[in-house]
Amino acid sequence: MAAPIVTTDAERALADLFEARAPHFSSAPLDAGRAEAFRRFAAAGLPHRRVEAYKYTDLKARLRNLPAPAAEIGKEEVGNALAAVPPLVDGAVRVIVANGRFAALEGTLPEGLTVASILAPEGAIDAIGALVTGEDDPLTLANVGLFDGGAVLQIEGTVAPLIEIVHLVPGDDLVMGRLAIFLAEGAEARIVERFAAGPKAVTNDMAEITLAPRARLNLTRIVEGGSAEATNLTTHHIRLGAHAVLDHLTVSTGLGLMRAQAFCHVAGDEAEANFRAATVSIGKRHADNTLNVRHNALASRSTEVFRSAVGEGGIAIVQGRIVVDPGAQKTDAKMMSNALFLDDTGEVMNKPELEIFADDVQCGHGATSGDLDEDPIFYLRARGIPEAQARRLLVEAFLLEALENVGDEALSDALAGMLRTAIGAPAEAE
Amino acid sequence: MLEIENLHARVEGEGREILKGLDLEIWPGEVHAIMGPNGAGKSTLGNVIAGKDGYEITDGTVRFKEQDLLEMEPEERAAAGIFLAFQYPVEVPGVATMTFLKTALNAQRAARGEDALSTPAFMKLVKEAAEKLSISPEMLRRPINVGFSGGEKKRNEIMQMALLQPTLAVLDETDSGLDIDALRVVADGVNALRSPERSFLIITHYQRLLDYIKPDHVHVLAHGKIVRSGGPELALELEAKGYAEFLEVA
Ligand SMILES: Nc1ncnc2c1ncn2[C@@H]1O[C@H](COP(=O)(O)OP(=O)(O)OP(=O)(O)O)[C@@H](O)[C@H]1O
Ligand SMILES: [Mg+2]
Repeated sequence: MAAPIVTTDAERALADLFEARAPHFSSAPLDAGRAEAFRRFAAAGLPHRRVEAYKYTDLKARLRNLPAPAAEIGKEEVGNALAAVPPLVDGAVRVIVANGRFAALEGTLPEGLTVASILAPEGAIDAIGALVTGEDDPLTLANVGLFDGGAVLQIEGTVAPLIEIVHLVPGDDLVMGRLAIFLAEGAEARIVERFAAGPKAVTNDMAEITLAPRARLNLTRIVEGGSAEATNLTTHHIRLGAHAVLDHLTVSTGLGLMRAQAFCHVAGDEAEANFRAATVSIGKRHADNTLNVRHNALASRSTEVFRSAVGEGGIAIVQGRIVVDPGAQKTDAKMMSNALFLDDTGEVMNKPELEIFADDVQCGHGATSGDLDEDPIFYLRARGIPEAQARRLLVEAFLLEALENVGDEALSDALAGMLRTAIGAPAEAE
Repeated sequence: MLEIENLHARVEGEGREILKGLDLEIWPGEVHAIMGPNGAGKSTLGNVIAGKDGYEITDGTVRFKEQDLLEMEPEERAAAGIFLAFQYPVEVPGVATMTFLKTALNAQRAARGEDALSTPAFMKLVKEAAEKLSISPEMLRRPINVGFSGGEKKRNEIMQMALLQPTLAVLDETDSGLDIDALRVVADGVNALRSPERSFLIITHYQRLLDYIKPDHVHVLAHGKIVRSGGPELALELEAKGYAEFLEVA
């Protein structure tokens, strides 16, 4: 018999926050949608282990209490906090979202890119919210009801420099930032999204990402957990038009609780979505990668490759679900999850799901988990490479295979350095 | 240089001994060839010398340059001058060949108290070694052995040997799977390294290799021990008569 579900302090705090803010909401469509979303969130509360999609990440149990919501911060404080977060690569244009609000642009705005606050989007962007209407994911509903602010990026043509979106949360606060990214027909861009939050901050950010026909996006999401008490929840809702191509990568390292979700709707014929994830979960880390890809177009493709390395009690969860709608003929979807145990204390949970309602498709999934092979270790040692270093090289190689689609060499090097540091190796190639 | 006395070894967890009282002595500058039937224990001997895990030494001693080799880790043995060219070199996806070579070379140098090589100096060494063994720059850009043909893997082993300059190289069937030209290239690579300080232990099934690399001593390994030793003429005799005689004796 199921125990009765009690409302937690955290859930009460969220309800109080909504009540306090509600009188100030405007009649703009985004504000108008808050009440319904929050009502639906509050009806079920924070998701717990009896909710199938949260079976391994019981947020109700883990987030008993929440920090206070963050206030807006001034330019000076943003500047100070940014000093600790240098750009990943030279020449990037940076979009700074501080405490969930669009705060600043760094670098020259390249041709083809427009950035505005989501609270005052330039032009009537009625498409904001289109990807989350009817959505029932609780983290999305909480964000749609309570988001503090955020940014809208519109991309036309080819934007050459890397666009780096930085979510800054200097304190130990509760923050819900929201992004809306639109790539116009045939547009091309490379975007990195990263988070720099206080050691006890709780962030629940959400992004809607829309690729019009023939748009190409390379999107990397980096989640570095700053402490064992950090909580980072991030959700991407993505829609691909015909012939659009998405290369998506999530890199996660560090400590604390993280759940990186992506819900991708491959809606256009011959569109292609490639998802990669490189996860290092060492020590007090609970890293949850949850991906839902839905194909409902002709001859669309997706690939999903997850690489996780776990040790010292770290936990990695990979939930990958591929749905092929009736009539989505010639869909080609392949998912693979590989996990590596760095010692015998890590945990890996793999939950692949295929739901196929069309007959002329090629779909598959596979999963492996295990220790490093002894033969390559011996091969390297026999050439004089000390055992610990040999193991690191092999773990590194295993993880770096998830970076195959990054393309940009400087970014790829920065990500590789991050992964090397996470497994205890020098950041430069040894 | 290498003194093996009464070596007994078995695979961990298996009852059967593979090496059953093997004796072998190699002096600086010597080239020894070991021949013997399949399953005699030749690769096992190479693995035990290089320090592969998974073998239990039940009796005997192995000394290398006055040190107890069995007490050393594989990487210590490599730094001390031991090199094993594998019978079956493994593919290591994701580890770039150049990264691997540089890491290996500098790790050995560090272990010997020498400075790390600069990148240009390293590149020059690799380029020379690769050219001599007909290994293309494109192959060097691949992960270790990935997509290499059987013969290319063997040439890659010899290139590593040329780069690492060991004092005792154990070549485990490096000639198997090589075409006629590659055999010559590999033999030239070995001969170029021959010196009064450097020794070779060459495991082979074919007398032909010994036409190119002249051994000082030839041994027959059967049933886990050296059952006969002689000069180069022994290889010719084996080629003519096979191993039947030794299998009966054992
Ligand atoms: N890991 C192992 N587990 C069980 N038996 C093993 C193992 N390794 C080697 N052996 C056995 O030990 C014996 C010697 O093997 P080894 O590989 O040393 O032979 P070899 O002389 O090199 O043969 P070849 O000429 O075919 O290469 C064989 O019978 C082999 O099956
Ligand atoms: Mg063998």
